[in-house]
Amino acid sequence: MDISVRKQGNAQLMKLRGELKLGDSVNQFRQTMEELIAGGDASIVINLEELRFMDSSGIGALMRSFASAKQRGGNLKLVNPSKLVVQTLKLVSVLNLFEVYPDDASALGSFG
Amino acid sequence: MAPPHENMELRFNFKAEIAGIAPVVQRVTGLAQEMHCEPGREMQIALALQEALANAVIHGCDSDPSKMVECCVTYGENTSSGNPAPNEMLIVIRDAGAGFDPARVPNPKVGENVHAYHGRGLHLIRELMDEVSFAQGGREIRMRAVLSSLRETAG
Repeated sequence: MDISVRKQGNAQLMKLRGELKLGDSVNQFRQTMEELIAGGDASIVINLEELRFMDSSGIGALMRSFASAKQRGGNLKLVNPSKLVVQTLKLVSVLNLFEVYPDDASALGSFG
Repeated sequence: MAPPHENMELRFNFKAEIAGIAPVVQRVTGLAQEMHCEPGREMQIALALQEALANAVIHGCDSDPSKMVECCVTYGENTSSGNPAPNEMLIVIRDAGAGFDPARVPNPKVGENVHAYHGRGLHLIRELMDEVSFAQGGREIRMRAVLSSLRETAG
């Protein structure tokens, strides 16, 4: 999996490409999230349009980051998840916990 | 037109480590496509298989590479006893662990479990496969997948 992060106004914009699953990709995601949030950047947009697969390990890492961001007064918002990722998140009843936006601009704009 | 395969079997044996999972998932996903599954069904099967193999490696074998995980995939067109029905795939995974009671696995969709950092794998398997059963005290999981239709999300 490939992760890119860049600061956009008041938020961090993260793009995930490939597969977020047990092993290196989840470890890399967790580490990147921990560094962002520990560094004071708890308002995070995650663009998922090129993430084709997320397993339960990935969902766990997402939930952990979501809780950490909220604890720091921030939030974690999703952009354009694929059909399979939407289904995966729905099947375990977590999709409705997140704000989901159709594009980066509207997600970033929601942070004001 | 004749199908590309008839009642065939793929067997995998791999050391109980995370790196052993991806090649099996990749091969079986490719097989589902070769069997002309409904587009998208191969990724649902990939996810269920990923979860079942992860459970076998991590919970079944404590990620101990001296232990082995077995995965057997049967597929084909004949419907004789013990074989999957036409256009179905039967996946059986065995680990060398102590087993578990599937009935005692908490529902990840209830209460605070929704916010948990783990515990969703078995639920995903049950939702994505058409039939799931256990044997040998939880050391064996049997998953049946119909290839011709996607599993839809309720609600």
